[in-house]
Amino acid sequence: MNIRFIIASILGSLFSILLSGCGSRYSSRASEFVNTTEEVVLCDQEQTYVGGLSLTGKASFYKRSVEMITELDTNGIQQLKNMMLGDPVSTPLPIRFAEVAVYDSNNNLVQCGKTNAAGEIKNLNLSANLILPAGSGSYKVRVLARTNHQIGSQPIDLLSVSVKKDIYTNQVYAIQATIDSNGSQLTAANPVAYARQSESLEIEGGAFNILNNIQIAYDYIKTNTSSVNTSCLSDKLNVYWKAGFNPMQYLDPEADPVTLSNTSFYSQTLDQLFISGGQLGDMSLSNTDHFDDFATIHELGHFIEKHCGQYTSAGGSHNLIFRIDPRLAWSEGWSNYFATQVIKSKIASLDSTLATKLTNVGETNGWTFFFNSFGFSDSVQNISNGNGFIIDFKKSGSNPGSYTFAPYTGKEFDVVRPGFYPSEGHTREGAISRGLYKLANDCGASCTPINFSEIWKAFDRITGVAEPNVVTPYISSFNIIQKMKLNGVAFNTSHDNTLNSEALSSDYSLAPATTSWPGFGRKLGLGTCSLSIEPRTDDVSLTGSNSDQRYSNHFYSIDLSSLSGLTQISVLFTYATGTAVDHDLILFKPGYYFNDDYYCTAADSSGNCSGVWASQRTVTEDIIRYDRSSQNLSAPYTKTISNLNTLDSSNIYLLNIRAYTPNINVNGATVYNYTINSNLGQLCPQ
Amino acid sequence: MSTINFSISLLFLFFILSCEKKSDLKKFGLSSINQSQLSYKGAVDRSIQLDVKIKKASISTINAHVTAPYHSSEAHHFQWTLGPNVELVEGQLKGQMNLVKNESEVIQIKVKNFDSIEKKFIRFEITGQNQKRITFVDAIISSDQKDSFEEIVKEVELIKKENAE
Repeated sequence: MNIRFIIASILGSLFSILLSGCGSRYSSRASEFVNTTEEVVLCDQEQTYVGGLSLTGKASFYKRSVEMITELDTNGIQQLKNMMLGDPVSTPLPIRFAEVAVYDSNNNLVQCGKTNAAGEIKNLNLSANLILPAGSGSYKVRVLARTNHQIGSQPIDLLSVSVKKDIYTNQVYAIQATIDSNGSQLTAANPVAYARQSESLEIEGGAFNILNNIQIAYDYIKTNTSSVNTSCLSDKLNVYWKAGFNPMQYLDPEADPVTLSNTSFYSQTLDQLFISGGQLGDMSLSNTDHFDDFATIHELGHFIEKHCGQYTSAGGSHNLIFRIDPRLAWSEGWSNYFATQVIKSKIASLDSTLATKLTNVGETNGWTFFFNSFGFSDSVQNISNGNGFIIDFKKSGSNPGSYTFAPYTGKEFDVVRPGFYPSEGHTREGAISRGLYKLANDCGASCTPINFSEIWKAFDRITGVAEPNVVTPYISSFNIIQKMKLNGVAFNTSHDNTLNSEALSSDYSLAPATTSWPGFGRKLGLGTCSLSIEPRTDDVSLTGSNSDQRYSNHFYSIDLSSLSGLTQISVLFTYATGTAVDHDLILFKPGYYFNDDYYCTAADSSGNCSGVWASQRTVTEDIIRYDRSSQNLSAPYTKTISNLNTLDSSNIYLLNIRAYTPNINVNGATVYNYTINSNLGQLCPQ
Repeated sequence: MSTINFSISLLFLFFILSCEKKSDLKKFGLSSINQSQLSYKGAVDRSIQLDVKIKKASISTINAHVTAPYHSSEAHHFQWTLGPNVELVEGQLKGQMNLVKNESEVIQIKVKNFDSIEKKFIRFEITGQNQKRITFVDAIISSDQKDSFEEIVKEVELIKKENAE
């Protein structure tokens, strides 16, 4: 063979391979998803068939049940160690208030209905059986994972949820049963959604469990806030889930799906829930959340916060092991508490076997847990990969338990030490979760728990922190607790002790400032005060923004509408004890991301850090004014931000007084005193 | 031969340039994701590079190529978990490794039943600490990755991107 021909062939093949590698050839499967399809319209028009036939039947779903993993304590007594997903429940749960659509043998829509609380197929107002045309024939009865159901006293109180397969087709999950009519009678329609892939490839039980979780959570709110307008819950909620699929691929489509992080999330931008169904088709080894009631209700908590309260968190990762942005800590703490509260209060509606399982392992308080599973075990499929982790919210803040699996083995779940680190609980989601749980359920032997409705009323837009007249773009747990008190909730010593044990002090204390927290986002106004900041070494267990949110940063709101004529703020820093540290002034816009003082020196093609984390002193688009200049630290120094009169006075900004600490070993007793001055005079937190 | 080498080099240069991905380190920090995640493994340093190669046969060979951007002062732990019906033929499912900066280490197992039409899965993970930072990387390995919805999403988004340009 001619050598030129061989070379040409090799080059031709290489071109082909390389072009293919660049993605110029698409699979036919991908082409099906390129054009986005709208969700199918609601089946909400009931047809009248005089002399028609009455349809009976019940829709139900299976879910994997939670199994207890126990160990013997030092006294030989069995105690709960962990939980995991096991076999499906033996008795299926009813599919409640779901849309029903009936088609004839020619696929013509002939009737619309709904399931009732018991899963029975009824007409649209649930008052009677569904009527189909007289005569013989066969029908397909489809039950959709979609609800459009009035849940309150007013028509506006709707539950409007769809659980869909993907963001492209917007196809709502459905199960169906085929029934026959002999002209005088219909066979019963009893569609079932299964939880095992061996019984149904799409495991529709996962979709209907997600729907059920949301319905149960809304039920709980409605039942426990009966005197409050909760029509905010009526906003349409779209949930995306697919068995074996990691939804993080939507966020980062170019990432390698083999090594991409796998998690569920609420997208604030899209205002949608994404629930993990596994990864690359796998469910038995991967993280999945469709049967993790805690996970789906947790993510729902964020949607509810956005629609009924005020969602000011910029989001981010959170592991319950370090102090984080107070906005994120509150948002995650709220969602953890909400999920635990719903499961505890509605446990029988979520899994009728769970309460007994807990009692059998000595858990007499019922459900008190954060629980996330990964993998599952199944006696029929001969799979034994079930695992998970639990956090018990009834445990004390000083001894909250620890991770039992890598990479966090032995790290405590947001342990707090109120004596050493006062008010640090406001920067720890674990402390906020425990604090709210205990406040509402277990605040001491002689203590009456606070009703859920009081927490809701401190949270919502009618009487809470999201009320338009008092709204602030910077919400932490402190705002919520303060609001409860302002709303007149009767806090006694037991309630205060409960919060204090989680370092969730609800009182500000400016003197001595070294043992206090100045609060998060308190407004500055004219006054006289002594302020101090205690810089601390960055948490090296983090990647990226590890500046201590409780210690190395103070945050104050600047409301220009109440500080008329403000043009300049200068802060004088005076060394008191410990390590000499520089400080910066940074003025954030609402919705800011806390800018990292580290950068990675190299990244791979997927954006992963493949270098080292080095210090930086830069700003981002979220920073509207700043002074990050380097100072001679041998004497008191001043940092200044100017031209504040040119800012939009309708905004409330956040002044971040930040110790610049990247890669600095800061003495644990370090203190700086500071004074906030302006062209109007001294400024102090109000 | 030098002409051929030059031609191939040009082709690879074309490939690299036309397929370059944009890095976004914010996604891997603490504060830059406009969403809420329920922590599974959470914020960890995923700086260890992991590239999994599969050679499918009656006895399949799985190679995990591990490269760290640092010398590990402490041993890192690796673990393979085999999915249903996958059988280990050769290799260790658990072990320790010391990482040398920028040097690739290969951890290999050989398994049976990873080449069938029915999808099979294997999990691999590495955990450790580097200068007190928690390091972690994990992978789900499918015997039929091309059939996954993740691959469809990759393709669809690429098509959309190209159509928009």
